[in-house]
Amino acid sequence: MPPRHAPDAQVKPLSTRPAVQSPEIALAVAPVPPPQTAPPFPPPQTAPALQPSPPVQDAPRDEIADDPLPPAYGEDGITLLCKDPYWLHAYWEITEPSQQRALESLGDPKARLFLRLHHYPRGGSATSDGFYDVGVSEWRRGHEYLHCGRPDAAFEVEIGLKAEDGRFVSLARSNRVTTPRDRMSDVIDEEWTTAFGEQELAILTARAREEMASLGVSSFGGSAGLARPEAERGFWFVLGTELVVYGATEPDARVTCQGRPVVLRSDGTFTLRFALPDGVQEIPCVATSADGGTTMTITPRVEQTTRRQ
Amino acid sequence: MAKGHLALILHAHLPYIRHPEYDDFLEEHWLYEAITESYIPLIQTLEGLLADQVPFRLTLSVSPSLANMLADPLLLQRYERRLNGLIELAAKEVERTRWQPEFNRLALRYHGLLTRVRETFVDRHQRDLIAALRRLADSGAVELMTCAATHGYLPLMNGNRASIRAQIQVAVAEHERHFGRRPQGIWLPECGYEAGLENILAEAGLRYFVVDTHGILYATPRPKYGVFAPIICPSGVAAFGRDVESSRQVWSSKEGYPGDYAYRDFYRDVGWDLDYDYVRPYLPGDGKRTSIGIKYYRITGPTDHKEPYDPERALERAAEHAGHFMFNRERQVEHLQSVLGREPIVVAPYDAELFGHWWHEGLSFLDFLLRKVAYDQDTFKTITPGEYLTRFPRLQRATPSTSSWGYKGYHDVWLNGSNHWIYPHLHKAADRMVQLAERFRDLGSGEGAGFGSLRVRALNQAARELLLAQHSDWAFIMKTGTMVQYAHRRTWTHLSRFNRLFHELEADRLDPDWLEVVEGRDNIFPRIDYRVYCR
Repeated sequence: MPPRHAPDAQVKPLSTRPAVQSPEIALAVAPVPPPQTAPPFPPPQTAPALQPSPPVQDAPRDEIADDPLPPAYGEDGITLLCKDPYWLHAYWEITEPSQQRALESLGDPKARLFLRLHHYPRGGSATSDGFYDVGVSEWRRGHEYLHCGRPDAAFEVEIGLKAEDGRFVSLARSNRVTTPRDRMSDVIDEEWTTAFGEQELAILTARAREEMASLGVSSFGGSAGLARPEAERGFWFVLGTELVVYGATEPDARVTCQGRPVVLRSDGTFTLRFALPDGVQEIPCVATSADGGTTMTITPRVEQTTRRQ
Repeated sequence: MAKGHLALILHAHLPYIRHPEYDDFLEEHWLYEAITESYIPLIQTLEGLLADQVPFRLTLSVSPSLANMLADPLLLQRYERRLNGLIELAAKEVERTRWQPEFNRLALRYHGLLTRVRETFVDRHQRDLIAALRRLADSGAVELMTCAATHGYLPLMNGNRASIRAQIQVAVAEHERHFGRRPQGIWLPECGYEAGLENILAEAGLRYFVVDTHGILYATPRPKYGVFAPIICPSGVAAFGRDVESSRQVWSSKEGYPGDYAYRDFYRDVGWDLDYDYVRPYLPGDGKRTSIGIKYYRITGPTDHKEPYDPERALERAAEHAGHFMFNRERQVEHLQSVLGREPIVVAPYDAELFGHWWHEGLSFLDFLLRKVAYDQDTFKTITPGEYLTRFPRLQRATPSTSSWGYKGYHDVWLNGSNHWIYPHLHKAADRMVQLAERFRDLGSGEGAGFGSLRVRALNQAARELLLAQHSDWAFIMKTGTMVQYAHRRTWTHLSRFNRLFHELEADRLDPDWLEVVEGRDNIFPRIDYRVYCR
């Protein structure tokens, strides 16, 4: 059931709906360090759409058509998110007129698109104390993972065009984010100095780190506890046998099979189904008329021997 | 005299999945399985403890999306249909396995378990599991927590305060609607915490939340007691930290109890193993093979060859594991108490669905554990976080560190190449929702506006669509790679419906027929008020 728990090969989703491949997912880039060379500007005109194409569904009752998501919203902007203490994620949209204006103001046809990641000192300072540039290619809508490598630090990102001579025209600027801490704070409250010794503290944090680096608890945890042991499985073959015993009598008769009562259908027929193990089965079936006056017995005898080669 | 405390917390959540447009829908079965295998057995276990007057404390978080499903007449009707089907299959299994005693006794056992589930559901609680949970809370032994309205992953909401606040405020209102009291605590979805969140929690009147171990260990200033005492944020909300040791014993694939070879194997199931024509009537949705819930084998070992399950032996193991868990907590509490010079609290949170559904014997373990803790030792007592705060009000002032309990401890699981495409759309929709709420803020209360007016209905529905799109489950599923297409579909569907409502409201051209259909489909939070999105 809940996928919260179980990414397991044996519990595959069983929907018949064909898989939907998001164009964005196809283009998704794993976090990579900033590239050494930026691709030339302008980028290709085929900006990727951000949403998966509408899934093909079974036809349900009273279907309502849902429109696809817009590939872009027609507004310049860039947003910065934290992924962890060392990595940030930026997504942006730059409209064509804005890009044209920036290109014209720079007057350099070889100008290229860059992300400029600003670092801020702690304490909400307005002035950046440094930045670095990362070349990107998708201008209309894009995503990028940025390695900042600095826990507990504040960042903003700008997107803009950079001329060959280094001049930079900003197109949009992001919100400010603070990366998470990755270690204990150095701030110590005099009234609450830690009760643990250095050694014990080190053990506690080491365990916490170990735990984070393992599968994580959440969601994955449920399956981690029950992870199916990965056994080598080559060609395989399984076989089972079952025996079906069926019959019919007067609808008001009483029937037993191996001494146990059998429920008849309204037309007096019945079907029994048994997993059949190796060996001999005697199966006495007895029908008795409603007035108890007549009894008939039929006894199949079945023998099964299974050879495995 | 107890030297410390254990806070067992179970987090019950499923995403809101309800498809009236299909007769039978595969993903709806996640709920049905969880009710049969986890929620009802949990209720039975806790009711048994109360009936036996065992002194215990347990904290249960029930996500508002789950609570809404448990209160939905259509889903309850379908659940009962499903349960009846399972009982019918179990009865057939009793017949079919007549010549195989080792399986026959298991078939009889399933028939008995399922029949008792039905008794609890229909006869004892008249299909009202919300009321059953409420009564458990009334006993004082069980503390109910809430969770964000649709289990939205709060640290990735781009600091949109109104949007985060809506997840919290709607949750608190829904908790009160269902359980008749305001929640004291909130389970942050995936323990996802970002500095600043504590202010929104305080505004909602919440007393506490739970973060992962490093959320407390890396707090500022440094926490005096590590994770073994809560800290109190400047906003006045307390934060508890998860204990690694107790969690690992249950969760871990290496050291965890659920992998014991005597325990029931989750993967071997009649849905996969038996003749297709025979099991077909009991397969959900379109009839592809999948698990049904009747499982005859034990884990056995790292092999494809599985031995038949032996319930008595498994029960003994569950008792041993409960004893082991208790013993380790005793030693841990003794040690911590000597180091800290105060009574430590060990916070042990787990997904509720682990117990019963994934770990078949998990609820027996819990039952044994709570009884043993009550009668077999004096070192520690079970406690709820709310009770702890009342008893120990003096806490260190500190702010937790941004964190989650997902892989690597931060936001990686919900932000990576498989799912980052959703955020521009989710953030845009949240901005637009705030914009709508601001623009129409006087509509709901205006003269003659009437709460049922078309525009108000559209605004409320827009809020529902946004919330449904924000389920952290969708991003999670995209990451894990199973059922991905369903997660895409849900994200896309709700965002698309939201966008349409936004444009229709902007242009003042609402389509009442379409709105009615969508209200019928996405009917979560019947009493939502869109003005929760006003700044």
